[in-house]
Amino acid sequence: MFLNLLHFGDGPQAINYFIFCLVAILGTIQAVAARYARRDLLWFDGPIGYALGGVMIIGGFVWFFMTDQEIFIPGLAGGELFTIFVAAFIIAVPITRLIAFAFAFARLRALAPAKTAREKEPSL
Amino acid sequence: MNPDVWLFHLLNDFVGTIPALDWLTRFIVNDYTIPMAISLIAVWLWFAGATPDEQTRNQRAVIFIALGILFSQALIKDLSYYYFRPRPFATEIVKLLFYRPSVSSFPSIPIAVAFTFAAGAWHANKRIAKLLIVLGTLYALARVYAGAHYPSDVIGGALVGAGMVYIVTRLNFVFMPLADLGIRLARRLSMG
Repeated sequence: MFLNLLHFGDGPQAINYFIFCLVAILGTIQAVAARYARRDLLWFDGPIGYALGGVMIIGGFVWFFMTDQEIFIPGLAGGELFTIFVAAFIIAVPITRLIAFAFAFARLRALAPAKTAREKEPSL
Repeated sequence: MNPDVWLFHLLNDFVGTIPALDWLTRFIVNDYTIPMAISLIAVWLWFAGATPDEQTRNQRAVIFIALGILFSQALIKDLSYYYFRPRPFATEIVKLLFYRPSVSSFPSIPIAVAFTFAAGAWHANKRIAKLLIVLGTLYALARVYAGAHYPSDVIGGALVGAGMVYIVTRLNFVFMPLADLGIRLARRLSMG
């Protein structure tokens, strides 16, 4: 019912805005995860996490303003913008956790000592 | 002359004098730059916190911001049925840097939203709240400079936004349990 009240338009603006929100939210989560050492959200430790977050936020803004030519004319209204932002947030958090888990798993695998031939085939 | 109109012209008549300032105003005044920036700051606040208590306080603030937006928008919507103020470009000679919105000029909806964020964040993190106040003030100045609002519209919007958060926080015996329920639900869904 609520969605029936919203008008996302015919053009690509809603999709562009959704991509902008998703990338910028992913970047913000990386920056805050780096600041508070949230290992459940963090993709890269330390300054790389901050840098990645910053690049994603700024990159999102630059991409959106370069791509969307309808920014300065009436487009999506507040309700639509809010709905798209919330949808992007709901999608961004599991994506963040999934990637963080995959990277942590890959790091663990890389750090685990390789088994020697003796360990692999114990002598009788 | 009405001081509101006088102040409006003091700012808006400056349009066209410094092209870089006009470009910067266009960048600030649109529907995306500042609203996205303040929303991302709320995302930061949602996940921020060195201790569980600090994180809970921040998340309560974000939920109070959401409630403040809901109530301020409802109030402005109701107000618009009783009072409609034409935009400056409908009654004055204006140098417009913005499109022509059709909704009532008073109170400014975007500024109400911006100051709802600032007032909500004030209860959790004063540094972030100050940053949001700066962004909201820039947004308000840009809206007047661009010819979209009179100064009293943006002041009214700021008061409505901040006032609604004040009411929500004063009624915390109602809204605090609601916020805590939302936080528990979000954490159970791994969203917090």
